[in-house]
Amino acid sequence: MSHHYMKLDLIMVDAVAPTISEFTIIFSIATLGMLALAMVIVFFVLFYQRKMLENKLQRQKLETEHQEKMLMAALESQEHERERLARDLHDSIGLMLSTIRISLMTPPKIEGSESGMTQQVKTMIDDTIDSVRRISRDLMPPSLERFGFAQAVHEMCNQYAMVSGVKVEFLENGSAVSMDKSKEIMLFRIVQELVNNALKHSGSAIIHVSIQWTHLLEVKVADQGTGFNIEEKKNAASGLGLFNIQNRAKILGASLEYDTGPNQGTIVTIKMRCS
Amino acid sequence: MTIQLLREYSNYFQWAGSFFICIACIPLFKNRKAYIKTLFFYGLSSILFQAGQQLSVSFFNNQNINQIGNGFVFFESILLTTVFWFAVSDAFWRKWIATLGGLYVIGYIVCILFFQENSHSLIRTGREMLMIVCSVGYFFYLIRKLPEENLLKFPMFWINTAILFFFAGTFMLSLMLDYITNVLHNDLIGFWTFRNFFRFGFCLLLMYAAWLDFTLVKDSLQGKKSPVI
Repeated sequence: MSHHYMKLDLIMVDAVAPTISEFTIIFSIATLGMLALAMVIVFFVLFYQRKMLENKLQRQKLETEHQEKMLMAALESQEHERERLARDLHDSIGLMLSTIRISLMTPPKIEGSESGMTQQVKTMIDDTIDSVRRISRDLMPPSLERFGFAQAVHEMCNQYAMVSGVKVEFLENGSAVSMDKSKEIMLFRIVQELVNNALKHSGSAIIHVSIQWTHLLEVKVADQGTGFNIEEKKNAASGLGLFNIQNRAKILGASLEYDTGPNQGTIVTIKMRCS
Repeated sequence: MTIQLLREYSNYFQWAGSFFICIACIPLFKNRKAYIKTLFFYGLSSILFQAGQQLSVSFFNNQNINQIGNGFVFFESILLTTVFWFAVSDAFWRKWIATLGGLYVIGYIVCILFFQENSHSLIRTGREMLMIVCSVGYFFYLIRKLPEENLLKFPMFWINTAILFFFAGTFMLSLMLDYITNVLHNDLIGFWTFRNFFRFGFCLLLMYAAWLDFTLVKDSLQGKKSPVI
């Protein structure tokens, strides 16, 4: 039975089947369609590979530029530090030691004035010692070594306030968590640079520095000064200080947020895990 | 020129194409990549099966000619799948290729045993689908790997392109094979002649890929840098 049905089916198919020429046209169109699809795939792969490679090269170029900028920032910062140290040594220690030398070389003109001169030399030596201490403290604050990051920042704020005449307020919340010394130094340098920038560029009469200890360490440096355009600064060749800060934050694994704009003041927030 | 004569020429062209593939694969054979060595065996099997078909036509009154053709379809599918298997280096991709190849073998056996009436069409359509999937998959693999050199310098790119074009071009013919013969009662001679010339082009592309690989191997033996995926 089934065999008869099959035969009947075949006859019906025969009745509606196209002629060979009609079939050839349809067949050719379908085959050409398949070939066109294959061609599209091949060209797409070639085009896509080139596009992706261009993007990759562009990314690599940007990365190299960024790293070069970072390196420049690090070198420049090192150079600034050396310059400052050289200036300090020359202007204070060198000058004082020269004065002491001259004082010691010059014989007293008035009889009996040796003790007065000795006193003067002693005072100058004391001043020199103070200067050496100050330079040393600037290089590596002893409080950072002894009492940790928060205390060092506190002292730094006091010193800056004293030297600049700008009010630098310090606030600490939560209980301090001890960190690696290398991390503390790096974080301290970031805060130092931020406060320094605020003092130099913001024109603000008051600077707030706050430290919040939770499971995260959150440090904020805020001023009410002129503010700046963060994107412009990032792209500017002179924005190496900013790069330096970012570089250090990156090494620390800390996040860095800038909330600023022209005439809106600046709030810089650093967040990092303490452990 | 009659269509029969053209068909005969197309057969010889096809034969020559397979021969060219073998010739291009032979120099520095030991140092060639595994997929090029497989390509050599593909060319060789193609020559042998075509010789078998020719013998069947000349001496045995077309006896078993379809069986020989079906046998070649099986070998072709396995060998070209092996080409893809050797061309990819990741275990993940190799697993996929092996699975697809395995599925095809099962499908082939099932068709030969249980669907004999439509088996010519089914096994060929299956082969075309397998090759198209492998080829598109290989392009995807290439995109993922993203080699930095120009893709046109890779032998496997040309092999893959040849496979994609040839099997996409013959897909409709394979699909309609049994319909053309059973329903349209056509002897396929025109379609098959076209297909044979098309296959000659396919063989030329494979030969170019094998030759390209030869130049790369020669360069690398001379200490020059060659592109690697």
